[in-house]
Amino acid sequence: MKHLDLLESKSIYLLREAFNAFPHLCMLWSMGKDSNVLLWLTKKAFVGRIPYPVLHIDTTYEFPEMLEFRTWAQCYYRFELVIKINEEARAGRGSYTTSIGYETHDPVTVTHELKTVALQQCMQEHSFDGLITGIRRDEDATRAKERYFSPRDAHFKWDYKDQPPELWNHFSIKKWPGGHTRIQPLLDWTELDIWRYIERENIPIPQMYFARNGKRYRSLGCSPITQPIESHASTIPEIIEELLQTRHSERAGRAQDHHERHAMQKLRARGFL
Amino acid sequence: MSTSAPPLHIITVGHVDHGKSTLLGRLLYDTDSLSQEQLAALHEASAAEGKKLELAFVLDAFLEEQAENITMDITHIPFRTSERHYVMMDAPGHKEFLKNMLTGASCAEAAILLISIVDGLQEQTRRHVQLLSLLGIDQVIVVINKLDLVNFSQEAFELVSQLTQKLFQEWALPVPWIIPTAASLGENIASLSSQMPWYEGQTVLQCLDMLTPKKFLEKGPLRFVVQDIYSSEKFPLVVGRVESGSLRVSEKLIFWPQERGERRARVRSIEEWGASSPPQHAFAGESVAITLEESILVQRGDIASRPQQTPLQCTDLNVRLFWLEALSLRVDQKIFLLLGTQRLLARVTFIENIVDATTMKLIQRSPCSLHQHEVADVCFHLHQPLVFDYYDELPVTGRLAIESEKGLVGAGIIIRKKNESRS
Repeated sequence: MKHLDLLESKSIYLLREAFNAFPHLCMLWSMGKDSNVLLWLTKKAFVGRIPYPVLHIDTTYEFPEMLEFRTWAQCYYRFELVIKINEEARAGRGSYTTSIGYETHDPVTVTHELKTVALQQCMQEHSFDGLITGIRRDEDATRAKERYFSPRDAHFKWDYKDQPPELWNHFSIKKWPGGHTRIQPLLDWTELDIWRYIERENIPIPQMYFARNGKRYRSLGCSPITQPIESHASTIPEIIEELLQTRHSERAGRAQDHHERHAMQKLRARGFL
Repeated sequence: MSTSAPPLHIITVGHVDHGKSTLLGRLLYDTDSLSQEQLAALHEASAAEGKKLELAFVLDAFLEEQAENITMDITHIPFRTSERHYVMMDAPGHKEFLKNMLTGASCAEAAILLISIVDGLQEQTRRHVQLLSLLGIDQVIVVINKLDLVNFSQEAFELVSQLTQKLFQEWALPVPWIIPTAASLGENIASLSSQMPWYEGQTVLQCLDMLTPKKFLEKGPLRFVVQDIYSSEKFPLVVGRVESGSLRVSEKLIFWPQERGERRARVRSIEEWGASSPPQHAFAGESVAITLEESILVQRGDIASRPQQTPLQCTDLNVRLFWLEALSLRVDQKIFLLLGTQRLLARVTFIENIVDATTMKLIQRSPCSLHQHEVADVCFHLHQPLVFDYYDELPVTGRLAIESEKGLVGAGIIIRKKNESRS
């Protein structure tokens, strides 16, 4: 089997296992390239259907172009879209004494409150027991240690010191009271694999990945803390060529990862993706 | 270099302090595979922990790992040489992390075993070799490391090398490549060492490029493992993966187990979303959705085969089992067996041949029970038949996982009972 076919087949296998094991399954979708590959794989796994709700955690700091893509894609694919904003944190209501935002807080705090906590609230509101994510092992050194099926307790804690074994095609589907399981079908994919697959399958993605005026976004997050890279790659083959040459890592333009040493581990241990 | 071939998956195993993470860090460093950010983080982390350039930090990402100089969990590192792509999996050597090592080893095609020349073959080394043998990983590169600490002595190397060969023989593994290295200095990793002119073999990198990738079992007997049935407008969709062999439209399939009468049906179609023309074939490794001509009951757990070359089904099994859980496995205990998508309750009827990984001696214990990290032959009795193949004939449907209320607690391969000949 060819490399991309094998990756696709395994991801489909994992999605089908997840759908069988978790009655309240949902899928995270950030409108980014990996998320859109996940949507595509879902259509393949379920032969044209998207049988679970698609979740967008809206930090209110989204790029307008990404929100336009959100509306377009929902029409195109026809899925149940759940949008969640941590309103209390933005307004400084409830358990929050001040409004949380990039204008006043550091990126690690904002990422935790507006992404992780918002996700927590949403999972609780809908009683989801399975969460499909698009993280990949090559993105970050702590993601490199992830499992395909990764249990989280009610507080979203990732017990990375005692992860369950995965043997051949058998995964941990144990249910935790109040907790959930993350299903991560793209773990084996690299950034290059994602682009080659998008090219092969002609998967729709936001235009911000393509160079305009000498700059393009390689990884997309909240607008105040996401930097474009210098690039003239305006087509997918040009992006692939650029990635083959680059010595920079994918998430170099994402401020929350680099705010302090081990920022990603700290964020992730508390429930971030 | 071909970009369409899947990467080769390699696991590094060995005792905790023998330098696995350093070796991998060195391979990445010497082949210029680290990004500028990774290099900067490596220097920063090394300085923060008060160490010189600590190559292990590339892989040991957690705070605890870097501060205590240990590897806690398996990490996957994509990596490439001029020949091909690899995924290197670094498995922790600590005894309590054997489940993590097994997790990586269960998807590895080859292994690198690290042995420190200073400590020689330790208990963990022996246990890892036993597990490689159990899992059928027979391509192994043995890296005898830290030669710099014994003045690059050929004599010291030959001694450990001979003991290693004997150990591989004991576990019925083919003779491995054995390379003397100093990973922290890069000797014999990417280039041959000038410190060890007596060594005339390959570097670690050259050996990697000599490994043979896993072959897909397209020519083997058909084993289509059913994951689920989805309703659709016309015919129900039977979804699953072809684990071995191939299937084609209009061919007749038998669904196993066979309990009350045979379940036979022909493949009506292979359904694929977005395909320009409907596929006519599916091969080993492919996840597919098929519809059937005849209306028969098919469910998750079933395995479809062709009318010839059928799998076995049985209510009594002999399993060579590796036990992961702190609580011992006892005779009469009831536990789930997972094979393909089958999940069946089984009772332990007999435990024998518990082998001590360090001494190779049989352990006698009464009443018989299997302790954590031991291997034994365990007999199971089931109420419903399990569909399987013997591991030596078709590994993909000859291996199983054991599940208790604690999750996955064991891994095993199905072996023949005594006096049972090859069918």
